[in-house]
Amino acid sequence: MMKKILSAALLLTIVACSSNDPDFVANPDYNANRYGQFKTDTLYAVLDSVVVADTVNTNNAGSLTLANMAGFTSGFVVRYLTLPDDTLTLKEIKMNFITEGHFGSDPQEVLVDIYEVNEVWDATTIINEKAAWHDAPPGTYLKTVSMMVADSAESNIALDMDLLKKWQSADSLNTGLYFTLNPSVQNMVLQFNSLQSTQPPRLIYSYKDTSDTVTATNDASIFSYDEINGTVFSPQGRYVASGIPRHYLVRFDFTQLSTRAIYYNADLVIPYDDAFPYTNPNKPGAFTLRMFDDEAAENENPSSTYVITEKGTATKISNQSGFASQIVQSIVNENLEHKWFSVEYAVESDVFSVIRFFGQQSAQKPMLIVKYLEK
Amino acid sequence: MKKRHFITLALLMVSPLFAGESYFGLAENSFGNILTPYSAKGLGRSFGIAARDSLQLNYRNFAAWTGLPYTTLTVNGEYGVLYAQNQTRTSQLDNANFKGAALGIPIKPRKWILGLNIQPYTGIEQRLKTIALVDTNEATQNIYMHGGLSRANIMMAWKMMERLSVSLGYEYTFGLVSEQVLLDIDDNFASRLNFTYRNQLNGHGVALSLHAEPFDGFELGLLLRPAVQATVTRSGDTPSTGLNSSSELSVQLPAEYNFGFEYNGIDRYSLGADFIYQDWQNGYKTDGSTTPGYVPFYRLGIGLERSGSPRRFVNYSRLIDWRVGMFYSQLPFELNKTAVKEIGASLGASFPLTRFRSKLDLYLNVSKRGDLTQNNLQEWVLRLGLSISANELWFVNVEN
Repeated sequence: MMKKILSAALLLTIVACSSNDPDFVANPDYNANRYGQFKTDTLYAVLDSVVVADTVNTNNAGSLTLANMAGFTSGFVVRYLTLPDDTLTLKEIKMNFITEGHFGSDPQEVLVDIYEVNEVWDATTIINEKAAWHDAPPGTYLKTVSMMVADSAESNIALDMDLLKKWQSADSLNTGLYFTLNPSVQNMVLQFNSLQSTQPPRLIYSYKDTSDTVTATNDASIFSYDEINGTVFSPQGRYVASGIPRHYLVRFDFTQLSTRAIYYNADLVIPYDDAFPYTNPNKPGAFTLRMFDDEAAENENPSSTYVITEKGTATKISNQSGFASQIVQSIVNENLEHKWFSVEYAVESDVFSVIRFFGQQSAQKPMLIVKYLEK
Repeated sequence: MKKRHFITLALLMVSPLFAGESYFGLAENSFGNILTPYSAKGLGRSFGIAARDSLQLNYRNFAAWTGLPYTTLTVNGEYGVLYAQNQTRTSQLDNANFKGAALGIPIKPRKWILGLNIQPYTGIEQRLKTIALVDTNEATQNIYMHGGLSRANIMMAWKMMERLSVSLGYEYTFGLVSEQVLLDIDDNFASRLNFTYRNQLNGHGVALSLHAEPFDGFELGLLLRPAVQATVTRSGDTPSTGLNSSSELSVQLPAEYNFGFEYNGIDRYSLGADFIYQDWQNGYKTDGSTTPGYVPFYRLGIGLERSGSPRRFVNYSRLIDWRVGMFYSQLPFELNKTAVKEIGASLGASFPLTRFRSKLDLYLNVSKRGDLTQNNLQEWVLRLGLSISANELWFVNVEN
C-alpha cells in the first residue's frame, strides 16, 4: 500500500510540474505600472556642423554627369578602344549618347565642350577603400557641340576622322575625350546613360551601304565643387549632398534621458526644406546614419550604419528598434560615448542632389525622439 | 524497498523547485501568498499547534517534539488544483508543492530534542498575459513570476517538567522571487522588451514555543516568532545598466503569533482549535515604511479527530484515525481595496504502519479564496497531500 501511495504522489508531482499554468488575462491584482511607465521624450539638437567627406566615388559610372550648379561641377570621360577596322572606308562616324535625366534649367539643348584627353587618366586611385577625388584630366579643347536635354533623347556627335585615325594608329594615343558643360550653361545637371546601363555610349559608323556600332570601353564621371564660392557648400549651411558626399553632424544631450529605463524605439528626425531647388526631383534619395568620435568624421565608432528614409519633410530611421537598443541604450548606459551622429545623403547612381536641413539654430531643430519604459 | 523510499522522498523534496501558487499575491513588494505549513495531521483536522505526537513532527510548535523516542523524519508534499475566476474569464491550473520537512533527533529521548526544520513561508508562481495600449499600439506582456520564501530552523526542545516543554530555535528566512517579462509592442518595428527582475531576501530570527498540558487531556501550544529583520537585494537583467545595479533594502517581516489548544478527554475523540496572527499592515516594513495595501493576516482553524483503536488485533480499518476541520483566514493583502478571505474545510486520515511504528497521513482541503464581487477575483482550491513520517526503526531490518 505504501508503495502505491508513494507512486501516486510521485505521479501527481510529475504531472503538475510538467504542465504550464495557463495565461490569466487581466488579473485584477496586476498593476499596469508594475514594471514602470511608458514614456516618450524629445531631445533637441544642441550642436551641429557640416564636413565634406574626403573621398568620393568620382569614377562612378552609374551615369555620366554634366553639371554646373551652385558650385558643383561635373564632366565625364569616355574612351573607345574598340574601333572600326582601319581598312574600312567610313562615310561617317558619330558618338551616341542617350539622356537619362536632368534638373535645374530646362532648355531643349545645351552646349557641351569636348576636350581631347592628353594623358591616360587613372580612375582607380583608392583611399580608405574608396575611390578618391580626381581632378579633370589634362586635355586639349576640341570643339563645342549641342546635346539633347529631354529624357531618352539621343545626342549624336560627329567624331573627327583625323582623331579616329590617330586612335587607330596606336592605343597609347587613344586617351579618350572629356565632356563638360560650356561655361555659358548655368544651374543645370544633365545625366547620360553610362556603360552600366542598357543604352551605353556608342560609336555609330557607316561605310558603303551599311552601318555598325561599337560600345565605349571606359567611362567615368568626375565631380568637383567650389568649396569657397559654392552656394550650397557654405559651412554655415546645413546641406547634405549626393555626388559630393557631406556629413551633417549633430549632437544631443543624453544626460537629459533617464538612466533607469529600457529604450525600445528611437528616431532621428531632421526637418528639411522640401522646396530646395538643388534637390534632384528625378531621383529618390536615402540617408545613412553613422556615429563618429571626431568632428572631421574620420573615426567611426561604433561601426554601425542605419538607413534613414524620407517621411514628409523630415527624416525617419528605418530600424528604430535597433537604433534604440544598440545605440541610444548604450549611450545612456555609458557603454558608448556620444560625440556625433552623422547623416549622409545619396541618390541612385550618386547623381548630384542636395538636401537642405533645418539646423540646430533654426526654429525647426533636429530631434531625437525616444520611447522607453522607465522604472 | 528502503532505497526506493529514499528516491521517492528525494523527488518529492525537489518539487518546491516547481511549486505553483494562486493568482493572489501580486501586491507591491510581495513575496507571494502566506503559506501555513502543518503536518498532514494538522492539515487534515485544521488545527495542530497543541498536538504532541510521538510519530510525527509538529511543524507549528517545536516544543511539542519532546515526546519523540526515536530520530524521526517527516516530509510533506501536496498536489493542488485551482480554479480561478475574474470578471472576464476563468482559468484552471494545478501544481505540486513541497510543504516542508522536519528532522527530530532525541539527544535524550522524550527530554531533549534537537530539531531541524525547513518549511515554505510564502510562494508565488504565476504566468500572466496582459494586453495594454502603448501609443495606440497593442502591447502584450507575458509575465512569469515564481519563487517564494522558506524558513530553515535549528532548535532545541526541552521538557522542563512532565507537563511543560519549551523550545528555542534560530530561524533563517531566505528566498528569491523572479519576474520574467517578455513585452511585444505591435508597432511597425515589432518592438520587443525582454527583462527579468529579482528580489532576494535573507533574514535572521528566532522561534520560541511552548507546549503544556495543564490538566489531563487538555493541551496548549504557543509559538512566537518575533519580527524578522531581513535584507532584500533587488537586481535586474535588463538592457538598462541603471536598472540592473543591485540595491539593498532593509525589510522587516512581521512577528507571528500562534496559539492552539486540543482537548482529547472524550473517549477517542479530540477537539481543538488554532489561531495564527501576523500584522502585515503595520509590521511589514521596507526601509522603515509600511507598504499600502497590506492588512493583518490571521487564520482560525477548528477540527475534530477520532483516533483509531488502540487494540492491535482488530480489523485494519479500525486502526485508522479520521479527521475533519474548518478554517477561515484573511490574506495579508487587499485586492480591489477589500481584504481577501479564505474559508475551507478539511478531511484527513492516518494509516498506521504498525510494522514500523509509524504513520502515513493523507489530507484533503477544499477552500474558497477571495470573492468575485468584492475582490474581482476568486479561487476554488482543492489540495490533496500526504505526510510521510519515518523514524529510525524504519531502518532496522526486522526480519533479521
